[in-house]
Amino acid sequence: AEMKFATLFCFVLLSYGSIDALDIPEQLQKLLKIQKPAEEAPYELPALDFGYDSLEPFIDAETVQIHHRGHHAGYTKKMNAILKQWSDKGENEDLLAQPIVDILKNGNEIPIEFRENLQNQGGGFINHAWYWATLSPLDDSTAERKPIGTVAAAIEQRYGKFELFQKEFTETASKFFGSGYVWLCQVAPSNVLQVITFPNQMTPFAFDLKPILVLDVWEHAYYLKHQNRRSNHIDDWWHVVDWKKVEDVARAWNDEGAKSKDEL
Amino acid sequence: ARALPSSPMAALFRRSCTLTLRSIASMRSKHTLPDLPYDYDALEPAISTEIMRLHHSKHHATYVNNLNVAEEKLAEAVAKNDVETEISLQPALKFNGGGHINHTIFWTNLCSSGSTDPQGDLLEAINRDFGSLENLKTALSAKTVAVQGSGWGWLGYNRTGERLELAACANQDPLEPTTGLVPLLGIDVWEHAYYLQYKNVRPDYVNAIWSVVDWANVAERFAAARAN
Repeated sequence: AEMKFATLFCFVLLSYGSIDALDIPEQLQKLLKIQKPAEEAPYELPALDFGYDSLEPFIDAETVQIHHRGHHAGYTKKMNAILKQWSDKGENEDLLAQPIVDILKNGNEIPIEFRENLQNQGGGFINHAWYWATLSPLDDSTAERKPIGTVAAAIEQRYGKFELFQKEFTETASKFFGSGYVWLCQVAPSNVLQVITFPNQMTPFAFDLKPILVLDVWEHAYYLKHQNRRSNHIDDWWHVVDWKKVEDVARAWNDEGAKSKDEL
Repeated sequence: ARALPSSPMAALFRRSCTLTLRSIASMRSKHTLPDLPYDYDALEPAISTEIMRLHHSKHHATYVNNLNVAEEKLAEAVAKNDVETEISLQPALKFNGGGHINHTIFWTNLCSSGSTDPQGDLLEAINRDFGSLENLKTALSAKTVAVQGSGWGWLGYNRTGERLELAACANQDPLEPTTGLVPLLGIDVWEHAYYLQYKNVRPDYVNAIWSVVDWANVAERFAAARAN
């Protein structure tokens, strides 16, 4: 019920204009590989930190490849094309000069003829970057996939124990209808954790939400391997969530730097 | 039905009829998955056998099952006068009811390739409202490909304006309750409708589906929509 309220709340905000949205730390943009490229240069498709077959046997190679080189690349290319059209138009150039994350936070200032399309393509560019950024192949050092550091503490505080959080996240992901993503966010100002869904390529960081983990439940994320059985995709995904990366994202939000690797 | 005469007895009789009908309604038979009018391989090569089998026996079947569950819960909630529960069931009714409605129409819109192009009244309406059949195909293809996320593209009939119109709906939102248009031809662009065969290349699927559209069925629906 909380989750549904939060989603409704965000829809209302979206239709009535922006609120004081958070700045995305540069450190976080670098982690996600979505930082603004050199002036006038187009954004690049964020490279994966692993090979296309590295998430086997959990996420199949064909899916990772098409998801990255087909879908994510498509959003990147189309976003760049719209930004170019906007640049040619020469309108609201101050906003255009901002990183895409900041442009999308100020959606109502995007010239109307580009707005919906840019929110969609830009959202796709960012959301997929977030998805890849917290996955990694299994190896000896990541044998057990459990939260660490500040995220572990926050999960325990909010949910009692990890298994209860995992259950809620999994149920939310199973029940979500249509295309979209399931996010674990810190909610400003207290950073309390919230599981929240957004449809299509809406991005949560445009609100007082600091996403730290995301699961893609668009059918393209799992259909080749699992067909209609989304639950099996969710099970597989838990195996490849990299909680060190999640901790890095949380710390980047909270301005503590990505220290988790050093501290371990 | 004939109007009943008014009197206290009649009023009582009417009331007991209503109560009986209500209890009959709650015992009504559940929704069932309709059979396809063709085999799973009938729409090859436009739509693969594997997709048809999954789409019908898994996806559509799930909408039917979940619709029945939601309706049962709704009947209970209504009987208990539990309005909060009635309201909380609305999304499930819309998703699954819409899914059942949409797919039931979709299967009849399709047939093995080689169907005759539209003729007669339907062709006349297409030419009038779109210029030509090719224009219709181009416009509906573009609208359908452009659907964000999951949804459907539709050729519909506007009864008030007496003309053909195009629409796109999100998720399983059913066309008529959402837009007022009577559905004539739907194109499902949920990824499950094409992904195994076409992967992320939705335009190829939408182009291909034209070869298996059953224009006779579209014409039947058009005639029925106009008659109403």
